[in-house]
Amino acid sequence: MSTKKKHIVIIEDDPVLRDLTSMALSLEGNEINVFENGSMGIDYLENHLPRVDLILLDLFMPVLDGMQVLNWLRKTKDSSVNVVVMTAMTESETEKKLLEAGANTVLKKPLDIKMLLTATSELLDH
Amino acid sequence: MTQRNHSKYYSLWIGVSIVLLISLSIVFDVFNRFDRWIYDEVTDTSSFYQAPSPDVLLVEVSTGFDGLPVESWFKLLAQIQKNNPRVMAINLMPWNWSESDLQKALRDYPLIIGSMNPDQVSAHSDLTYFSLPPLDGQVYRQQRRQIHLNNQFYPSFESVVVDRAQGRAADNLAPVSIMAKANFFINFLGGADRMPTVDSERVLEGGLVETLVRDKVVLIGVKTPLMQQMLSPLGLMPYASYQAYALNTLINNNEIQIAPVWLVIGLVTLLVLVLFVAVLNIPDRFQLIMISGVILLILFLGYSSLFIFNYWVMPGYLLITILSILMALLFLRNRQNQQALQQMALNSAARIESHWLSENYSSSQVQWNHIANMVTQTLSLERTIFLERVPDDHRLREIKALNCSIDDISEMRRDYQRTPYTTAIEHGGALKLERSYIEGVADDEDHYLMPLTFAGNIQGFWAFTIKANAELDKSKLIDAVEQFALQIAELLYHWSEWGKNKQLESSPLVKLLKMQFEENSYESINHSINFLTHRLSTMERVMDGLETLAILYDLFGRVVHVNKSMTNMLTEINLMPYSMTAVDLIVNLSGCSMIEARNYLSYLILEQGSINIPVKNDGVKTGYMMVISALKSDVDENDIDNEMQPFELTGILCELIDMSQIRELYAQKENIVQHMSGWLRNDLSSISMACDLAQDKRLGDAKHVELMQLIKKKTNDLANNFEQVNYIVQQDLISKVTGYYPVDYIGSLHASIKEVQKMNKKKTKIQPLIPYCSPLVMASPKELRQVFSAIVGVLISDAVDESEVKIKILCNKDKVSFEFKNEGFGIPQEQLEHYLTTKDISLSNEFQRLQVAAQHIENWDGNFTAVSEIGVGMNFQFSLKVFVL
Repeated sequence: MSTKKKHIVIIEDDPVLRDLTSMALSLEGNEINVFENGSMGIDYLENHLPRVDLILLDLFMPVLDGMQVLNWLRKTKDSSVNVVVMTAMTESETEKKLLEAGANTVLKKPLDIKMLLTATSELLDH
Repeated sequence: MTQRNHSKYYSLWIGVSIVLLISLSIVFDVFNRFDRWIYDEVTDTSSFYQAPSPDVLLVEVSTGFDGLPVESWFKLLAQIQKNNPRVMAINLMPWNWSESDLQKALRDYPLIIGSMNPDQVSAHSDLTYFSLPPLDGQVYRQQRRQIHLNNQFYPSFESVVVDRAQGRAADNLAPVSIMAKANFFINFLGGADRMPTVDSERVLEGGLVETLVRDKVVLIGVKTPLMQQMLSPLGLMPYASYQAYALNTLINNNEIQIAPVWLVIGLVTLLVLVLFVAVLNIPDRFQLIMISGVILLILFLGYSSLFIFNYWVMPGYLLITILSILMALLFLRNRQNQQALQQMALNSAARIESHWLSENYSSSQVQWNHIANMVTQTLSLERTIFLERVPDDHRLREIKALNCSIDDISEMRRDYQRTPYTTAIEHGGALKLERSYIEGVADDEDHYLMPLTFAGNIQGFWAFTIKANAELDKSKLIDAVEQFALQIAELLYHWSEWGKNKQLESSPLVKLLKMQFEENSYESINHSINFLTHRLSTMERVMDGLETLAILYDLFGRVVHVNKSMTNMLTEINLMPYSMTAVDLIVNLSGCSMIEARNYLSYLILEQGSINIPVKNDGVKTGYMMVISALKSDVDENDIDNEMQPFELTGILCELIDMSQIRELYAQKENIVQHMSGWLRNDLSSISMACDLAQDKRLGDAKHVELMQLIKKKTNDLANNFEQVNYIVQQDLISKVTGYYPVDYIGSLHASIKEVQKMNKKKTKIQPLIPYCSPLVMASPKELRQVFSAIVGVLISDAVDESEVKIKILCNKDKVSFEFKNEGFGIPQEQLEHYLTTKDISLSNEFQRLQVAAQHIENWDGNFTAVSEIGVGMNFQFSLKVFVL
């Protein structure tokens, strides 16, 4: 992983998972911002998107789900920011739809730290 | 006494009656003309009979009695005498003879002459009395032995001639005692050409042959013209010929004997006995053969006795006897059939009534209280009165009234053959009366009169009032009234029948006066048939109303009944149910081969089980299952009708069951499991990541402790969640009707929209805005779909053509909010609120469903709100709790 501090936004409705993900990525020296649903995440990204290096996005969330946030990023904002979608849906159809919608990586739950760091570092180092 | 014994006694009485009647007819010669006609026919057709050569020669004087000169007469006598006749006789003295001519003739020749002049006869011993034969009906068949004159009996011309021929010294003038048989039947057997006859001209010319005359009785008579001839069994013949047959009969002593009355009566009795005993004890198919045989035997007996013994047994009477027996047998058979039919009809009627009707119910006055209360409440009626017909009268009387009585009815005649009742009957439904029918009623109430008709008869009337300004759909109300009226009329019918039977049972005098000794079987069966027809049509309606598509085949695969849903579905895919066998249906709907379909049916019939085959036909929506089952008859050993049921199987029932809803419910379960698996995966992720982080040396001790506690908590949560998942997965969604359950609403919403769109004729677009990922909501799986259908259905119904119905869904952390709105005509808000709260059953189906939907949502704590504005449309909102573990 690059030594430069990366700015990562985590949008996840599960508070425990959100905290653990944030803790793991902070330990790697990243700057982390967390939000509990898509709507709040979009509110933040509306102003800070250019300086965000990676968005870690949960698919299943209230108010606005991961797919809606992804669509907003790719279609509305036309952003090429790195997006990792975490999902508990295991069907390949979901993964395919997410990749088609613009996700860079789809991580299927249950996650572990190694899987998370590998996926994020690959995208951030690229 | 058993039916069979009763029948035998009845037969005996009929047999005795036949013997008595035929005997009386013999004594009083009732059928003599028929019997003699047979006699004449037999005699006339007897030319085949080789009778002995006659002892009589007839010389016919063709010129008449006064046409032959006296000299010629003497020449004629001389010519005959020359050939040695036994006796010569002139049947009637020639009119041109003088006394001296007569004396000369009598002196010179062995001659007997018939005369119509008693003085002349008394003056000459060789003259005898001439007389005409007795008439037997319209035909001459007999001749006299004696002549009754001046209270004295004298031998007839024929008797004197025969006595002389046989060498007896006959005294034609001495009175004789009355004979037992004063007349005798002439023997005409052998036909008309049997009697040798020569013409007087031939005799005068010397053409007479001695062999023809020698030792014969020669009768000389005038050949009378046709008009003066006599009708005999051989047809018309001159009197001289008739006398010749009579003379020949007497000479040969072969007169026809007529069987005495006692003998004929004996034969009749024997016939009746034999035929009745035999015919009643042999199979039907042999009865006709036996009777035909007996008729032939009688004809043979008649022929043979006549030709061999010159004996006439009066076969005409015997044939009449057989005819009577035949008619009696037909009558008996018909009576037996009638009795059996009557018994069957009464048994069937009794069985039908006992099977379908509970006497307790028919006999209870309480039922009318229930009915009156029920219809008044459910139809929001102000007043109700049920009227029934008074038996055998045209007046009406009250059965039950609510909020009024029969005394309140303004018209006083209570006569259903007059207005307004006749008008209501003509109308054939609930008639709104222009005038006030029930008195003391507020002006704002409408009066209705509904005839109660069952089995084609007016059973009574139902009068009621409703508020004129009630917010009711009047046409729906009238439909409901007419539906109720059908059922009430049937109950009224059974009520009145029960009343009639009770009256008869309790009053034998009434029964006697009405001559109702036993129930008329035809009436009874007619009632039963009407009743069954009504029940059958009700059952057909029920079967047609079933959502399940059903078709019933008999054991041979022919259609017995198809319900409406099945007919509609088959018609849609161009299949004609009545022109298809069960095999054809299976092949067309399942796509299997003909051989496979036959194997299925063989299995069904032999194993008497059922088979399920998925429907695979492009025209049928997916999700149908064809369930084919063999229908077994429920055999009751006491039921004699089962003798007519040779098969244990009564048919094959083929049902198409829509499994799509069940599949959807199972899909719901799959979704729930999928959602839960997501939560479990989240928990597992938390545990896994916490474990990884706990091993990281970069974190301080406090963080380690925190992470360890977190791992412990998440592990416990995971275990609890597993238990909850297990509990939910084990729930039976199909039978679960109410209550909370995690439901994936998206599937239900899509299914409802699809269902409603099928009936959407306004081209309304339905646009749901549904998030990609939605949580499960707490609802009842089956009812949630009904809720969506009801709401979308009302919105489409109200929508402007080609407009949009919008569905907006917002998922929050703890609830999912739904908003449904249309671009429609709208109704006043008050009216919408009334529709959502009223208990009026005449409410339209759409709003009834909406009412139920709102109730469901309230049960789920969903806060249903409905807004309507004229010119804008309708908007329905509610929210459902999100399911969280």
